[in-house]
Amino acid sequence: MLLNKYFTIHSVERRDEDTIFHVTLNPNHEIYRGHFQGNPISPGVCTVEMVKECAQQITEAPLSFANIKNCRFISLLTPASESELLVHINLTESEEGYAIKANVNGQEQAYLTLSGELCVNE
Amino acid sequence: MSYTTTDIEQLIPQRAPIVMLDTFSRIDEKNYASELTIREDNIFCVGDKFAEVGIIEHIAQTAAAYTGYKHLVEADSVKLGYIGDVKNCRFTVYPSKGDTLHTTIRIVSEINDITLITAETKVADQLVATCKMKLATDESK
Repeated sequence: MLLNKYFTIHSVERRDEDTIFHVTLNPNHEIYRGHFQGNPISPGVCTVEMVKECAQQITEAPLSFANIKNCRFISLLTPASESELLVHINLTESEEGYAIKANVNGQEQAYLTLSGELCVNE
Repeated sequence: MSYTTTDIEQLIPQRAPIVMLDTFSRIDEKNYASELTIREDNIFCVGDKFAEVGIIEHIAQTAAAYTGYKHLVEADSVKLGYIGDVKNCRFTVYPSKGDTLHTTIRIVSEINDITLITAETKVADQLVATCKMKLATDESK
């Protein structure tokens, strides 16, 4: 949905269960026409979707959130001020499919921490 | 006093293509409701399926419409708002194109510009999602 439109993945580092995606946001994505007019702010839910789409790169299967136990938006993300991000994902097998722990950070700021479970789409 | 509107842009600062509400209603002082019919061109559709984050955005905008409604009653302008956190969010059914989401939110607490809500989303009588959400309003904008 968002990969290669809203954001692109440059490089991927894998260390056991942890994967770090280096991503770039596209400041010209159409969502910024409405979020907000003349004041582009990255929708928090798009950061969450970006985490899921990065996780799909690891599982190589389409995923859905079964639950989000905790998701905290730490600071406001604007595509103009911080277009390069690190998406850090820890995936382990769980009852629903995969347990995920993720965080999204910029050069100096933290933007998101998330924990929950993903299931593989039928 | 009950209240229902389809003039969503009067209540929230979001604009196309990220408006995720068709209607907003006041049930009573603590409970509010909204609806969204998932159209083919919805930005959160992947094929026929509506992404889970689309449901979260729809719930967050229901809470934003609540604060917008309060400002409207107080003859104040609509403020920008942000999601602070989402907790205990469970998805039980994944809605598709053509489905209508029916959401009710309950205002749990309001302290200054922080609003805590619980939400429940259904399609017909089937539970789709439940969650707790904390939202912040930027009173300066």
